[in-house]
Amino acid sequence: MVPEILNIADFPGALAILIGATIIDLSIVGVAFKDFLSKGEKKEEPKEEPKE
Amino acid sequence: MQALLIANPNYSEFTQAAWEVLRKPNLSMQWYIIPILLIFIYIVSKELSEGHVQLVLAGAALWLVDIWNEIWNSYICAVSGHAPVWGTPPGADINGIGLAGQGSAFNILIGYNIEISFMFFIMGIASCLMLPKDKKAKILGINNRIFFACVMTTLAVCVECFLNYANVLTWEWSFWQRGCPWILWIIGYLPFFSAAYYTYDRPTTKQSFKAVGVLAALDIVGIIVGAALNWI
Repeated sequence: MVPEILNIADFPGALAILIGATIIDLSIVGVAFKDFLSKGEKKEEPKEEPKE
Repeated sequence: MQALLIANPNYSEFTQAAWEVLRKPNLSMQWYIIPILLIFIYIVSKELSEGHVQLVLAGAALWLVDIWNEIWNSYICAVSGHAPVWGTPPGADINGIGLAGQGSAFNILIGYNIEISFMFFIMGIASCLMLPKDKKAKILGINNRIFFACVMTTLAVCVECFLNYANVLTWEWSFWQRGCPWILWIIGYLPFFSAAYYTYDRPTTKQSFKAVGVLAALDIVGIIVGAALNWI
């Protein structure tokens, strides 16, 4: 059986849910990737000696 | 527990078939799920006994992000009145619609079953075991967490495409097809591994619990709203 293929543009309510869900999913990715990159690129800078 | 999703005559045949066994274990339960449950318990118990709490929490994180996706998938099915983005209908015995296999032992949501549930929790644990201990290490110039998230996502999408090809996982929307799997890649799997690795990497176990708590809260709200609106 070949199912009928649906177009999300024909279903505004479903499209709104998909957009909202995508924003949340991408937020999860964003938070995680920000953390991964900050850890991956963070370099400890030598502390400057206080000038007397 | 009776299915909350209201039957709709406009549902596709796959959706109707899935709906008929939704949360009806008396129609679908099979014995093999019991040893799978024991394997799952063994894996979690072993890791906890070795003190790998954050590893188990990473598994929980991946599992919870998948549940979030399964919740909005049910929403789309109910709101569109036609089909979920992905469905897990039963096998050929139901309705004679020509699907492979015997289906799931227990359909929890319209596109989510007990096998998927165990699989994703274990996947979260397994994918973190692959990670280098050095969180800063780079592979091919890329942070290893991002590298593994992309590799695992790609592999998982390949498996999904195969399941769809084998007709045990149905896709009825034009934006979610084997010919255009990038949306599936971006929101279907990348958040799963991202959440698992993020949770695994928290400096303290308490922070890992906090990450899992946020995801659990998202799911609980989604379930409450869905149940209130008869969307799940």
